[in-house]
Amino acid sequence: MTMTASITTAIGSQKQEAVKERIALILSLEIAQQHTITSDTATKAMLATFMSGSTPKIYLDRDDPLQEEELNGIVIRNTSERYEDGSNVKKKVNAVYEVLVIGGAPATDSEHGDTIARRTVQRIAKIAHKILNSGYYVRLGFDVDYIGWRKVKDLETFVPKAANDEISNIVVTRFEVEVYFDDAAITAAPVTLETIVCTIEPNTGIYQVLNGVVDDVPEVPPVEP
Amino acid sequence: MTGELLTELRDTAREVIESEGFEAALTVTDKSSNTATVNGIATMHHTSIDAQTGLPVSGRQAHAIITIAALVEAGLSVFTDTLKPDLPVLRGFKVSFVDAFGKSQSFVVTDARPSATLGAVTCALGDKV
Repeated sequence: MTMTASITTAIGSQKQEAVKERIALILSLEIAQQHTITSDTATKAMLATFMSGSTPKIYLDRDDPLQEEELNGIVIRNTSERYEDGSNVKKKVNAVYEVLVIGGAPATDSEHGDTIARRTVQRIAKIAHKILNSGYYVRLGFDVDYIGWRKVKDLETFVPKAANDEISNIVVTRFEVEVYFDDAAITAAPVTLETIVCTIEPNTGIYQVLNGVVDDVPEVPPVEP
Repeated sequence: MTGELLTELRDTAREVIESEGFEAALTVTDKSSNTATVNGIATMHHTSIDAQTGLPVSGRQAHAIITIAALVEAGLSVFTDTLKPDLPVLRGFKVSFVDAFGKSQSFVVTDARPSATLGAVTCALGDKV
């Protein structure tokens, strides 16, 4: 049997990509806003280390090593999609995105760099966490039926290997955002089923009509009144 | 009595660190803000470090090797810990030197690893504003 392509619908950009880009957009807008509105000079200075001018340094889908001049920065990547039961029309998807807040800090005359780096990275990560977890972004700003929900999950902070010899005192805080949505499937034309029509004639038996053709069916005894 | 070879080893180590042609001029400031220039070996290079997230980070590592004798002779306060007065205490010392690009780099000692065998200390350096 020779098989040919059946899907005539072009498959383009996916919902998980739109969600990822939306997470980046929200963080970019809101971190810049926080830098503008905060009256706390320490927080403003920390936010400034994650910005280039007035723009937060956010890297989407970055896998190459972050260069020293690119730090401090925030990396957003999606890590997994888990499919649950659904139908041929749509599946329920749990997509997991990771937010990496990566930074370092130089020492000052009064404080070592590792202390400043850890405090700065954790402060900025917590601000990013609170932004995405806020009531304004229950559906990440999408229309009400675009995603089901988002869950902003645990934060964990760690120091990269060899960072004890690293002059910039690199620290990373990571958290995940889990987003639940329906993913539409490419639908096919339904399979044509054969129709069966049964006519019951109590006194003469059962006749089966298959696709309009009367099949031979065994005689059955008439039902006694 | 210290053996002849061990004494020679220590002398040779000091010569290599300070005056055999690999030395750099290091400006060192102790925690009492005394400053002196001593010779030592300074290195700085870039490397990728494992960020434990699947995303490596490119960073710099810098080290200085200095003899304790040179620091003491320069008048810097090295043995300052009252509980462990025999231990050289260098974390927090400021070190600066000129790199291969001709740029002056300033650091703070983040980790000091003295060798009581050779009399030298390897200092891991951190960025300093």
